[in-house]
Amino acid sequence: MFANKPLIQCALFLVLLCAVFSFATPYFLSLDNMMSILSAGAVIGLLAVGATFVIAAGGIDLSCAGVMALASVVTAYALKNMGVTNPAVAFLLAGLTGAFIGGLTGALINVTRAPSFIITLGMMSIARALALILAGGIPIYGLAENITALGQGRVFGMPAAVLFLLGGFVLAGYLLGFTRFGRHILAFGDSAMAAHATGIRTNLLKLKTFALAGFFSGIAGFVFMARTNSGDPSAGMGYELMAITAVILGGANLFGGRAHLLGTFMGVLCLGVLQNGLTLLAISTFYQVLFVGIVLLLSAFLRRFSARAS
Amino acid sequence: MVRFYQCMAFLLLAILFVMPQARALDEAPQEEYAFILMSRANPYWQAMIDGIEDTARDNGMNASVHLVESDRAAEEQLNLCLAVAGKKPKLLAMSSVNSSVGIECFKRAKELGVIVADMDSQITPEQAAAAGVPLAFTVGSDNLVIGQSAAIFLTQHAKGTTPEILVLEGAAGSPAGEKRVRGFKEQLAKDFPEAKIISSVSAEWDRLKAMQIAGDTLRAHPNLDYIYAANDLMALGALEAMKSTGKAGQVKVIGVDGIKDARDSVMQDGLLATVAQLPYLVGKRAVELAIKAQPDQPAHSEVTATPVLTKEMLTRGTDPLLDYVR
Repeated sequence: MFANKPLIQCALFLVLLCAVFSFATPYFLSLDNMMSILSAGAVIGLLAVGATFVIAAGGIDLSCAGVMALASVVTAYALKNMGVTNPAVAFLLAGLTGAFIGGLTGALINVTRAPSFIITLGMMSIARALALILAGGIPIYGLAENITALGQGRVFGMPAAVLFLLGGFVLAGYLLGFTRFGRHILAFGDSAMAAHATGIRTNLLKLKTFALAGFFSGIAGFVFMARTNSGDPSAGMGYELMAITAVILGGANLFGGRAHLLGTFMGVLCLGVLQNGLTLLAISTFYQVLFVGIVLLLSAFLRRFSARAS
Repeated sequence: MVRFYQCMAFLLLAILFVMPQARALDEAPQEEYAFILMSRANPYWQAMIDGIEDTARDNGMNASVHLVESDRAAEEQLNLCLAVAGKKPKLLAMSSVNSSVGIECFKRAKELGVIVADMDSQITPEQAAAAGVPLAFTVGSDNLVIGQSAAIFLTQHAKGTTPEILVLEGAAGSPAGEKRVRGFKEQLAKDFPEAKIISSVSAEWDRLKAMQIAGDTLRAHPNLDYIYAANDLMALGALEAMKSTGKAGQVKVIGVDGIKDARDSVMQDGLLATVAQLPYLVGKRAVELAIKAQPDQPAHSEVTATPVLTKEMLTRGTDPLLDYVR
């Protein structure tokens, strides 16, 4: 039953958080608030999806929030200045912008053989700078209603942003859990040498992994843009660390080989619930940041403790 | 795959365990007033928070103040605002990072029957009405007026001369910074056409950058007479540059905001003046207007005073507005 300890721990922790907040504030467990938590987690969640693939493959992606900002700016720019009106085209543009930067990151890692930490650190600055240059330093405001409806509107009573989040997780869960590509990523993350020896084309795999992560960052940028009605070059400062936090909380191994989309989803929920609950209790933002740190440390202790016990 | 189902089953059990704890929404306390601002790290917002909290306490109001980490955290503020709106406070007043965020949250608040209002003039009543979310009130200082006040003060001070002026702008793209500079330039062109703006550049709200730009400008224009900086930090930086070149007496510096360091400098004959914003007063007035606010009332617009603080005014200490200088 307890075959998958990190996942169970994350689920238990989530339940504990929900229980505490539901006693502390009556509004917490309302459907309306649940939707609010989910839509608030949409952007971080989509970034965390991408981060899950990279971490599963034993890498780290510090550029995801920068890529997200760039995708939001590129798309907003195209919508405002280049006559793009179709939401599907805008969605694809955001995704492809992310995928292009992600692919470039993967290619650079392959060429330089440098750790992904360094290359994505560089790409983070480059993506953010490109966004600032294209937008002239200021957010691009005032998008058409058919675009903002995708971030602010509701479909069958559910916020549209939540549908993007759920869609992203289902697609990613399938890719990581039920395809050869997913198995290869996990095998590569477990042991790059062994994966290479079994005939996996590891360079191509890295390229695809980073391109996929970039794609999800791009989609996060699209959702960000539609929610805030702006392509903002300074969007999501520090989001990359929140995304990585969610993945780690969800039981992934930072050194690769083990990652679960369900775990990541619960990690995103943990962060969202924490933030939402503390907001409802009118607890200062400073403490919210403190709690996120404590939660992450607590999960590290828990894992160490349970590893010893077994 | 088996693990996946195990975990799903566990999650489901967990949810079933937690759901009965849910309580009825109508237990939520009535008559809560929510105020959403930006970051406490900036003394400007801290003064506004003090104004809200002090006045709410004096009036026995159940007020909650919510903040985000930085002045540009648009999505965080939207998430925060939606969560707070969901609690259905009686009124939600917000100083939004940008008007889109404010209007988007106000739409949701209106659906839930919450009265909405703007603080610090981020959203105009016209913008809000056009989006179908009429504001109960908007209260804040007007950055255009701040620039104009600085120009009027400079005109009086430099009467009879043909001064050379350096303008230190705020960060590119900042609406507040842009208005402070535009108000200054337009008023100066109208009242004092003899004055000559020799340079107008952005020091990005930064003290050190302002110091470098002011020093460089002085070398190129040794007859510089005045510096108008769009905030006090830049003004203090420029003043440092003047001091280090021994020109502090010749070049007079005017700042904006009225922060404590700037007021102290004015008293010690450093800065010539600072145009004060009174965030404490904005917070106080927001609470007073919130108490009186009714659903569907016509929007009440209020521009708070922005006095020019000089050594003479501060020494006299009789102006009632000085009570709100923090």
